[in-house]
Amino acid sequence: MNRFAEQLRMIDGMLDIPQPSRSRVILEISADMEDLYEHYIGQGLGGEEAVKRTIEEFDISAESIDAIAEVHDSPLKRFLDRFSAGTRSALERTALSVTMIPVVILALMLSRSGGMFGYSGIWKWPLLFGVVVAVALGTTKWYRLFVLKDHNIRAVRKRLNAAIYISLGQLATGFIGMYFDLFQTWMKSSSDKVRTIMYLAHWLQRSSALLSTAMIAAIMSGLIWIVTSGKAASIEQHEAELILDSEGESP
Amino acid sequence: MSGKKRVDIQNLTKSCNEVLVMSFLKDGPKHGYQLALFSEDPAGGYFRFKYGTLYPILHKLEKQGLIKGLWSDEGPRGKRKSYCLTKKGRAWLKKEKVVWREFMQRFKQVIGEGESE
Repeated sequence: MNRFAEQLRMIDGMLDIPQPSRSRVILEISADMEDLYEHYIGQGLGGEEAVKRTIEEFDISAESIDAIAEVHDSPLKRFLDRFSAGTRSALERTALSVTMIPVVILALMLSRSGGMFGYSGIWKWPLLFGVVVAVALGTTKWYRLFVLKDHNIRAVRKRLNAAIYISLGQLATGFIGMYFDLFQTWMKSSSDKVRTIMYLAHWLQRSSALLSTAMIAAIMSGLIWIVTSGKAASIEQHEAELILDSEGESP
Repeated sequence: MSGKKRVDIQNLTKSCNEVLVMSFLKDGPKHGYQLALFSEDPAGGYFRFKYGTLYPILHKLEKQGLIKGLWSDEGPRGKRKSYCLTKKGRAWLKKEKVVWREFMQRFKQVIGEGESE
């Protein structure tokens, strides 16, 4: 039960920033309101007077709320926040599942064919290293969330964004490897023009294997980030909803 | 004109508030409500912050990496967010202090120190 639920709901309604940032701001303000209330109680004020004084003190204007929104809003952040499962609409979650499931199945089928990984050349090693790091990161986070049931959001979010950077790095590695191989193919074919077609065919085979491997690796790292940040966002949102949904208790 | 950093006159209140918040945090982590209470102000409540002013400043400074927000679970009291200076923030504050001291000196020169109308 939160004695300031009405004020918090009003701020929540005016704060135009995406989740989970909005929940975090509400949680912070709620905690500070409670602390200020306790401070006034400690000064000897009665419960009713302490609530009144706290509300007066926290009279956050629309201008201030806009200033908070301005700090938190950026197109990139808005875009990334939309990927958190707890903040997406049911339609978006369905669309993402419909897109991701066939991609994951296809990736698994391709990886089982074996030769693809071998054809990826030396570029497969940084990709594999990225997957190992992302899986290790995901395992520690999931162990904390699902085994220890420790919902310390700060610890869950710490270094979590590394997974999305690894994912982007893996895609970049795939493209860099493909262009590097194309350059080598051009060097070879310029000194041996008769075999140009053969060199190009080999390049095409290696490149498709490398890009497929890079995509599988990037999807795996990306999924680790999506699932974990989604869980963290849903915990934060749930906590904020508990505060907002509670009826204001009498002091 | 020298290339030395100066106080941004156009955004005087904003930059002054940022330096004040950073100065209040220099002795250790503090919650938002602690920052707003005048008991934390060595000037005896002269620079008292309204919460509406405080949150945008704190969040902006956090975004810039000058302060760090730390969430802690305080059991039945629930989660609390406190702020502390980062290494970058300490360096920033050190520079800003020099800038503001010079500003105050020049300002006194202009308005006349100790004069009464």
